[in-house]
Amino acid sequence: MLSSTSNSDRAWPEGPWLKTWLLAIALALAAVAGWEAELRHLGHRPTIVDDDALWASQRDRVYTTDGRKPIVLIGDCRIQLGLVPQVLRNSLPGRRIVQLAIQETSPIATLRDLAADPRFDGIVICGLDSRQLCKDMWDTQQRYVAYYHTAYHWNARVNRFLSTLMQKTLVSLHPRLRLSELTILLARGKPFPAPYYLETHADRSRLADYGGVDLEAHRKWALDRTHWLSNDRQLPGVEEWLHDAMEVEEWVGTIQARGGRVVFMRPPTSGQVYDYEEFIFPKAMFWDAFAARTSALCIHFKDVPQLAGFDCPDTVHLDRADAPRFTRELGKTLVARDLLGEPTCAVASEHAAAGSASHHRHKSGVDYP
Amino acid sequence: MLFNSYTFAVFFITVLVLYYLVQSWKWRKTILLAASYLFYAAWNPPFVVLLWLSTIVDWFAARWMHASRSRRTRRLFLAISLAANLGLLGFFKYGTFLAENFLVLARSLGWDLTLAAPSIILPVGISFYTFQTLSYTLDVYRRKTAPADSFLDYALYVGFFPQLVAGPIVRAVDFLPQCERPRGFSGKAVGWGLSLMLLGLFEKTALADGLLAPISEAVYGSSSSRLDFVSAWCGTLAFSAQVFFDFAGYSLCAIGAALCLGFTIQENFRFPYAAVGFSDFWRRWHISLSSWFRDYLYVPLGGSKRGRFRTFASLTITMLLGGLWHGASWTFVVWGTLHGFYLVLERAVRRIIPRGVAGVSFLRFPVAILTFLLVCVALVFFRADSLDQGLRISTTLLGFGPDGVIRFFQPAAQQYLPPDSATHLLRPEPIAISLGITVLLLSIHWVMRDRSLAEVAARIPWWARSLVLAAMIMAILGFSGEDRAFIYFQF
Repeated sequence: MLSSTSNSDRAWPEGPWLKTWLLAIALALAAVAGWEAELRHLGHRPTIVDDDALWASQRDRVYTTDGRKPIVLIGDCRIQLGLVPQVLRNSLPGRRIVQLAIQETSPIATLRDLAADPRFDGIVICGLDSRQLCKDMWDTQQRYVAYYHTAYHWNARVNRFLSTLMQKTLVSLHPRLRLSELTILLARGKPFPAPYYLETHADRSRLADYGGVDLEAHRKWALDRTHWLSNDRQLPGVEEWLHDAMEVEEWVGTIQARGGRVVFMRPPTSGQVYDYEEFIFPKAMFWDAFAARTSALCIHFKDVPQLAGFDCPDTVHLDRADAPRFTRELGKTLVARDLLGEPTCAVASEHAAAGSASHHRHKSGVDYP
Repeated sequence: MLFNSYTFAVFFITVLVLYYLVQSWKWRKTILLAASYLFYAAWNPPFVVLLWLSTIVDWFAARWMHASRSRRTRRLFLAISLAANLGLLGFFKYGTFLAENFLVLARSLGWDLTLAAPSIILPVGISFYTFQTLSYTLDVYRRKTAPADSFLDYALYVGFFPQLVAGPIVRAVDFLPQCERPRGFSGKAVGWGLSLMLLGLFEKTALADGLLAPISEAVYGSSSSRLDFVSAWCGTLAFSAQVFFDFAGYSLCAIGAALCLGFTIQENFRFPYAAVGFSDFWRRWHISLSSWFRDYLYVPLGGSKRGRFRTFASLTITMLLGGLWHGASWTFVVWGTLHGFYLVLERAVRRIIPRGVAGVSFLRFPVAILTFLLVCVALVFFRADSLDQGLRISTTLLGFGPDGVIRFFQPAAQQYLPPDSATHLLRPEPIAISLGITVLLLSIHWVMRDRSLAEVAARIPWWARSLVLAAMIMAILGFSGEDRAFIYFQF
């Protein structure tokens, strides 16, 4: 369609081009403003598109500055939705929190990458379950790692920065509100979409509001995925699994030898998903055996009473109402286990965190209970 | 730096302002050259060295070739230019392919060879700028053009950012004369240039990426074994429209950006899906590449002047190499060979049918539709990830898939039942979008086949142009989502 131009000056259409463009821009701005107002009126909010460039922008921040080691969160969506960087920052003041968790993946490739980076000597909180320690899942984050090392040049940095600015500002850039999505929804006779339950921020923190979603559908999806990850696959026996899992120890050792720390944390799951996970990889046989052998600190949510009481509405993820509390409890646990070697400072900050939550509520638009 | 990125918007506005602020023509060209290298370095900074290498080798080769009266010396310099450019292309683009196929061949002969898997990154746009510089040295060798007087002009010709990474492939004879005199600011050129850029972005972002790519990906990216006749066709039609909007959109952006800077670049697409026959198709599709192959390969091979069989052989070899130019994969070889076969078949049919029949106007439309459908069948191999996938989808298209023959011969009443997702890989909405856009695309191409966009735009009142531009801005914003690189960047 519409592809033909001429080399000849005479072929350029005559007309008042300045006026033409000014009117076009004015019309487009008016239409965008109207659409934005309507979307906001319907309760939609801007969100950041979480892509490999956004991940890379955070990967850039993992280095120690001013003698303070950063805390790097790696894992899957349970870490991204369950740990709120801003709350953790309040619990552990002075620390830079970097969110590198990626949904539906195993964090091993990122752990390996951090170990291979001689400049990295920070603290890794690695959300992990036994299934993700099986070797067939190790490379599921490798695409992001490779992108960071081979394609995240200055051009991608500038573009990601500008994209973030635009996505922070305009609701209409929300992926769920693209015209192609809306056209198909309306063609199917479905109503205009309600505000999406997920909200992603520029620091890759993500909150889920399960208040208005079809929880049964989400639970079914989560269970189906858990089945899919296990059924019809050659899952290793305990010995083989433990042998493979201990290969991770090499990277843990490398990071810790540089002065960093690694914490493996089993994030909470509930209901049928937890039961199924326990059926396939019983904690006592798998996780506990690994925890006994690794030099990293291991925290299973079931072993810490303050972390065990959380319920995941969709059986896999924490709701935005619970995530800040869970983050604070984890912060306390880490301090109690002397992860940072600064218990006094951290305990003091715990009180500050409660007070400062309301301050940050206004700053970020995120409501932390 | 992608045209459909925020970085490019900032970059282009900055370049445009600086370019027109400076008075000296030499400095303005220097700004463009520096901007072009910055643009290229945005992908992978070290690869800008390859661009410099190609520029310098051909600059000296052409000058020394021109200065020499000895045919042997001239050939030597041509050989150096060919070796440098084709060597670069061969190593970066075909190195892995050649190594892999050598291993397969060696193993089939019983040799137990192992080679370390080569890890070669393809520099973006290398196929385009090497062909562009080759056209320059070949023209100088043939004494069709004199070498450039100014290195700055020549370097700008090779590196001019609007067309550097995905064409159109510009000839020196068209570009270098434009560097001689200052290109003044023209509101008409900038207004029309920006309009073409917006149209190109609309085609790329809203149509190719927003509407069509998800449909073709659903079919070609699916590992499902239940690919059906309807979905195979709709996925292929969607890809046919996608690849046109993607590449024609890029060409429009390139032409528009150049025009804003006062330079004109030849058109690259002329409503190709209205082509009546394959010779016509190649006069309308990727014109700068097809004319390159015509002038520098098909004609030297003998063209149509040395008998029927030599013509057929020249066509087949040209199209096969044209396929390989697109990518180091057997699927592109099949795509090119199919087009060679179509062209040979067309010539053979033209010899058989009486002259009068070929000119009958009411036959033109059905022949155009047949041409389009056969182009789509060939495009299966352009899109397919492997020969196996290409064969599977093309056999399904021809009605020989798992359900194809059965569905073909169903009672008519059943054929017109609304499709449901249980029997079709694609859902009804993508099927409707694919068919709807195809019909619209073919209609517009047919209506526009002998017109130009500028002619049509000239007839529209200014305020209506504003409405169209505003609608395109809205569509670009509304459809923008996942960033996809232009398909032709991989070549």
